[in-house]
Amino acid sequence: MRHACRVLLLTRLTGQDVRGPDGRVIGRLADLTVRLNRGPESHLVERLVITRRHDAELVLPWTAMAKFHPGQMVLGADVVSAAQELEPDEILLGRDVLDTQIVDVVGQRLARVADVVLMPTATGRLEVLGVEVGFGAVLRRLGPGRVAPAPGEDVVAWSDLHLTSDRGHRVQLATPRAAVHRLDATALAALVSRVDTDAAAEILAAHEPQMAAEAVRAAHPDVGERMLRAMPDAEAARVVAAMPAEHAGRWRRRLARAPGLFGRRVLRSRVWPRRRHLIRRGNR
Amino acid sequence: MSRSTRHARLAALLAVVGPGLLAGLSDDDPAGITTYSVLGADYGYQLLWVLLLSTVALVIFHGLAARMGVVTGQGLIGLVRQRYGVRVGGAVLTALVVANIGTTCAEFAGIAAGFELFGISRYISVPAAAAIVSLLVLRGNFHRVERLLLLVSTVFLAYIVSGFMARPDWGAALRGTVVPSMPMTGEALAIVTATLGTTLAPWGLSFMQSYAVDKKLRIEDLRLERVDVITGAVLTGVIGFFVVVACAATLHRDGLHITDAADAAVALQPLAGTAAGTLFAVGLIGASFLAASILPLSTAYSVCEYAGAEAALDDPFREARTFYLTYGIITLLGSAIVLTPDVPLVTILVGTQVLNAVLLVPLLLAMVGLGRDRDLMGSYATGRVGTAVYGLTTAVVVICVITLGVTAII
Repeated sequence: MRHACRVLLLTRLTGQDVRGPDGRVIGRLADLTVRLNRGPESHLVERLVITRRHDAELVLPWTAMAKFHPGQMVLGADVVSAAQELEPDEILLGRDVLDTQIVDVVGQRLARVADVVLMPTATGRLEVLGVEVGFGAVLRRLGPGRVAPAPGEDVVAWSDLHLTSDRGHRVQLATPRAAVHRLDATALAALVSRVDTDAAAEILAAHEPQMAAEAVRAAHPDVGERMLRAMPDAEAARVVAAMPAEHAGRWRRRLARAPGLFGRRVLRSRVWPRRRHLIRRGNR
Repeated sequence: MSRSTRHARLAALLAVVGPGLLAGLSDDDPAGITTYSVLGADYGYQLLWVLLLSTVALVIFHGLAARMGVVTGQGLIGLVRQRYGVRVGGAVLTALVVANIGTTCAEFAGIAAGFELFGISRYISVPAAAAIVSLLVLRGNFHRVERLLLLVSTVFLAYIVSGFMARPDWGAALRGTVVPSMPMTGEALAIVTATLGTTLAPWGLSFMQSYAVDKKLRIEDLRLERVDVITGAVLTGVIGFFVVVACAATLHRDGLHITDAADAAVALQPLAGTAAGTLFAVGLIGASFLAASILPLSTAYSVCEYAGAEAALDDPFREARTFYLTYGIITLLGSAIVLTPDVPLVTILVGTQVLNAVLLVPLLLAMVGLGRDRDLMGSYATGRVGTAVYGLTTAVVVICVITLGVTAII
């Protein structure tokens, strides 16, 4: 995926001055939010978080931005901070996405987000294209830009990733259009093999027992076993019951046995548990 | 409790055991054994309390590392990058990699010295050891590697036997362990700092957390993982205790001074018997081999966590090139430096010890900050009492590092 021109990077936007209509610096851009359950607008930046030196941070809708160019962000008149609470389907790109782990559900790999790739739309909004992964983008952030590849060399599309941050994971599970709900059994098995057991069990529980059963059968038996053991008994029983009789019998016998001493598999990443859902200043 | 319940609990414990034992015991590497040997040879039983202190510090921070790994599912360097950004993460990783290369040299130097006591040239023992540890990780799966390393750890029993054979004064040893006292000299301060620094090593902390993640431990396993951590730390302290006791009962009694663990093995032979010296040398080889396997592994985990190419021991080479290449490069560099004629090995090893001690300070501070972060740790975040304990331990380490710096300059 390449977007050579007009792409913007979150790490280059954050930290920039945001000015008021009179040209006075109000604060610095700290973070951007998107809402995942907004249909066609799920890719659009919803709000911006501005930190101020001697005052509380401002949380404003993107529509408050009167002029937006990289290096020049000017707000319109009558700046009033919006609610501090995140909407149920809203995530912070800096806090919940940048530098966290994601699963590329198409490329079937676990990666760490090095940057968030954005692009201005014709209507003056800012659209999230995807996330940049790989060490090249890390090098660029560290400074030696000449040795780093151009932005967009290794980008995972926003629609093709599953976030492993606690909030990102939960919001995506609750969003019917999220990538996690569009997978076939094989891809679902690959996804649950790359997240931690609890998250894997939650992902399976969000699917119909038939689909969950197929994913368990498609995964490595040790992976399937750990997921089923991590599920509530009734839920695991429903998944097993959805398998063909012969497989169901085999799985019931397997689950009846004590867990193997050394047969621990599955976890490659782990969600960020129990994050607070207030908008706060980014960590970096 | 019924027999089946007992068996189930034992099975659960055995399934969890590993990170704490391996991370703890690998801290008793050649640098550690050398430090303990010098501590015993120069100060007798007087400074044994430092081992108690360092064991407590090990329990506290290895416990925190395990908890962070299990709760967040991420290694230490990955978390540092996420929480503090790529620059801080990059700086910590760079220092860690440099220090780990130096420490790997120390492990291969231990292998070379240990085998030379049995008349085997380092040009045979070091390449053979490098090949064995590389094959172990490249060819073995996670559980095979873990079981083999735990098996190697049993060689540490040699130190315990060696300690008994030296017929120490147990009363003086007990008094030295529980009653703190020390001569206020620069050398004594330096050895106290070195003991603390060699036990609580940066690479051990990062390995502990990454390995807990790779082992797929879950929050339900935390209670048993604490048993693993405490067992590993206590065994580390116990082995250190017997090394100190063996040297105190023989070398210190006769006023002999040593410069490294191989010296101690040779010096022990006429004083405590050939078997005691031989066991000491066998222990040195085993300890070196264990640490030489763990150091590149710890480095590979850290590099992958930072680069965003997370990998695990079970991954095939084509999916985890960064992981296996890092492992290979660190092993190759560590062994090649030891075999290079006229290389200033002592300068490298001393520089590594200093770098490890200095790196420990920001790493411990980062761990305390990460452990307190409720966004990351949720209900498992460190509370006020825990923070005070971690802060106090960190303060002791900071004071020791500053003291070491001051005494080195003076």
